[in-house]
Amino acid sequence: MGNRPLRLPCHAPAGAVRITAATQGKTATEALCRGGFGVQATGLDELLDQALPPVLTEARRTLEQHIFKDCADIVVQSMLVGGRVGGLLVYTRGLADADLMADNVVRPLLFELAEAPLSDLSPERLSGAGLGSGSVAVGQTYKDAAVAVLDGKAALLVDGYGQCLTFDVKGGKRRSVEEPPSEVVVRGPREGFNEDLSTSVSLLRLKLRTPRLKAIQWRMGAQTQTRVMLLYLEGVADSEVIAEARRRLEAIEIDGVLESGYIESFIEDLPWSPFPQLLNSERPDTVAAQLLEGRFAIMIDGSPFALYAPVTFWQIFQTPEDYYERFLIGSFLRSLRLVFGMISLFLPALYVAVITFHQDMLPTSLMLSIASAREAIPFPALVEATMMELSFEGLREAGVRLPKTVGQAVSILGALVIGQAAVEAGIVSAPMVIIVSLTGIASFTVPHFNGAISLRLLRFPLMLLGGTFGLVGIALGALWIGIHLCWLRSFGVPYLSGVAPFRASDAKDLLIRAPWWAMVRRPGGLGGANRRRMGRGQKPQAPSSRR
Amino acid sequence: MDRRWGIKLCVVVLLLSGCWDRREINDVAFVVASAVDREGKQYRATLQIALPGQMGRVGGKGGGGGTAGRRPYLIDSVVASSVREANDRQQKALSRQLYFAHRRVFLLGEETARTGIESVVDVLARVPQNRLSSYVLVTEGPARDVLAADAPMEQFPAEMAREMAIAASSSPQTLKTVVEALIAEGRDPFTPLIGIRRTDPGPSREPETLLELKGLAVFRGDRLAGFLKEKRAMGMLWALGQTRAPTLEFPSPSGDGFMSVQFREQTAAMTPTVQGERITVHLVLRARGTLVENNSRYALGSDRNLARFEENVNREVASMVTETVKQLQALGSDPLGIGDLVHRRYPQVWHRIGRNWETRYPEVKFVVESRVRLINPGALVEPLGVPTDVQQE
Repeated sequence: MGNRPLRLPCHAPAGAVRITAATQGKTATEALCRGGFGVQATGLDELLDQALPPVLTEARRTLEQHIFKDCADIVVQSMLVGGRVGGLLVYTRGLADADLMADNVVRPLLFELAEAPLSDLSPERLSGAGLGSGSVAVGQTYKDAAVAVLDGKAALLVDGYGQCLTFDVKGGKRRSVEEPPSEVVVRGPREGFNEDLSTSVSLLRLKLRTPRLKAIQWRMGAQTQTRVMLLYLEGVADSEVIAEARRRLEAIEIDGVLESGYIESFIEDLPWSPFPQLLNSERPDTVAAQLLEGRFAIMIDGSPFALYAPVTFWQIFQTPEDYYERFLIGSFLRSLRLVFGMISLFLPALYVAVITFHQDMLPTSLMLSIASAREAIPFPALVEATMMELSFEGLREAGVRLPKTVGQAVSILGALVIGQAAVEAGIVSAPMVIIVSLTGIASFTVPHFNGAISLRLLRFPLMLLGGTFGLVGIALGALWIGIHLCWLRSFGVPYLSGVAPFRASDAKDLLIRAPWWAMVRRPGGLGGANRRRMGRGQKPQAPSSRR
Repeated sequence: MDRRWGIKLCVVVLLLSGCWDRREINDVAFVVASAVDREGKQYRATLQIALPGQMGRVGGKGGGGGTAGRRPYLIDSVVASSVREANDRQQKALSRQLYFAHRRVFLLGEETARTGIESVVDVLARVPQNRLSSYVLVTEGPARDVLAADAPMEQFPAEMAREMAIAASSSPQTLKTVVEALIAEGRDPFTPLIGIRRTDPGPSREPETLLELKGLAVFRGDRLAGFLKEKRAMGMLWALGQTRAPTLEFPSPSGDGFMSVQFREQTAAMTPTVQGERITVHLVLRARGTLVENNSRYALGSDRNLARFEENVNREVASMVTETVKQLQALGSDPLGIGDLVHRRYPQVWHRIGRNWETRYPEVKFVVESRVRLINPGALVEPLGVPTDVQQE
């Protein structure tokens, strides 16, 4: 573990979502369906806390006219349980599966229980009668019923009893398991998480079939009631880190969680850092590999992106394929990515500095050809570079958001306008176009988008420094970034772990990727008592005798 | 509060500092070569400045673009009492700042070299913008005229001069090596010698001027001692072990033509010995030769023929180097660094004789031994078209 004590996030952005003293300490589940933050009190909370009345008509009125008033997608349907007793079936259209409900709830209630004595129709009895396929629970208050209904279950109220039964008949349409479009591999599994947490976790469980894979669930978001899961491998992950992660997660109180990014911003160590302290992936194999190395993952319902931490700087340059391809290929590609990552950070700044201050640093003929290309350019190099970099970023952004058909037109336009017309008109020089496009390509080689964007962001201050102070400025900027990286931690683990603090055994998996049989131990710095992950001496050898 | 002040300080530093010593690439006049001539007590400094605007851009129209036929460089010379002053006067007629870091060639006129180069080299070695890696050449006649040659082969005449400096020997003479030799005891500098050659395209066309490598200029102290040309220049490079794959012609042992041999991996080993007052230097030359032309009827096919020819080659090489050394001794110039060698081998002796090395140097006895091997007769073993039985033994 690092020397610095673990810290709770204390820099969380101020605003509507911050915890109030009144709700502090309550878990998200307890705060369920409360008015929540920034919601006007309507008496709903009090109503929800009431016990269900035995009189069905009263319950119906409360549900229809108060709790689910103006909720067209909530169905409150009367029926006769066992053909004799009044019942009220409440569910959400679209969330509850109609077939499941018909087979497991409605049919048994209407027909199979027709002969049963009246006393058997109490919810307690019914819950034991093997109704439904999934779990059946008994609720006492309006809240219990409402929560179940909103979660996709069906609630059954029986006349004469102040209780309700809830059946798990969850359905609802969700995207199927598809190839993750943001992390394509040439070789490797092609399945990705989807928006359904249960499916996503099951994909992970398929990879890690061990009871040591723990999944702790919370509900977060007063209005969204999003399920959030913390996953880790017990005995592999550092229990201190897990405890810290739990602490940070439990401190979150917010009205809605729509993406794992919401969670990320609450639990990262240093919000002002340009570097991501949690990485994300929508690949089960990537997340499984992280868990196997002793990290934890956070998955949420409604987004395919799982977060994982603690991470190091070097992981920004890693792809799952590094580990799937043969190690020479993996090592080459990884070091290539590192080099290009540095290019995307420093190249424009270096170019500007050399052009404006250090003309003696380039070979004469190169210098002269750059000089002749720049002869008619009206702007100083710094202005030219900033202009071009900004228009490149704009072009990229336009291309990302637009539909594919329009996007193509934009890229053609951009290439023509920036690449050719601007050069021919003598507004920008051809070498600058080369530098900018090289930088652009370089930044696309960094596989993690949030890592690439942080390098891209830092490029601009570096350019400014290069244009004002020359190489001295770039050196200062690089120093500043270096110091920041040394200082940064992800859940207490130093961000440059492996290099600073240096650990020789980790070097096998930082800049290069050693063959699997050489990586006997898990990366250090993540804690965990036993770092062995395989037997020693497994380097394959050809048999000595030839046949 | 601290942090806020820190941010303010950063902003202030960024805004106020600006880019005050910003010097865009287009505010700079790149000097690609310079030359110094002596005119009486004064110096004539000549600069060759690249004109990027005239260079024409590859694959693109628009932009600067110059009128066709204009050379992409400017040559200007000014007479002043020092090189630096001349440059300052030249600056007054230039809209861009003179920038010497890309000067890769430095030409010394014959007259300058004769009157001493120390005063000229001073300004070059003193200012860091002047690269010590720039090549130094001595010109036949005024350096300004050499710098103004057409040299249509390269973009700038400077480029041609640079290539010649590189081609002259296997370790080219730069400002650094010249200064080193000037400082060193018992060693004199030498540089390649270039001059102008007019092309001979026949009567229908205008001749142009080219630069030509004429030999080597050897110094005595900081003054030019003389020129070594042709075989003498070659001999000196052999003695230094700095030839670049030279080809030499030898009369055929059969007496009816010449045979050309190209030498590679040429090395030289010098060992001084001191016996009493007598200094002897053993010079052993080694090389591997390839026969590249044979217009005689002498066949190298047999071992006996080969040995005989090798003997001839060794004799010729040894005499070439011996003649060179004799001339060097006559000129009183020690570019081979014999004094340095003695100094290293026999410090005590040097302590005694070092002070009057100039008088001792001509008395040094040289024993030149050539151990050249012919390893390859080329793709042809025997001369083409000559019947085997007619071939001489």
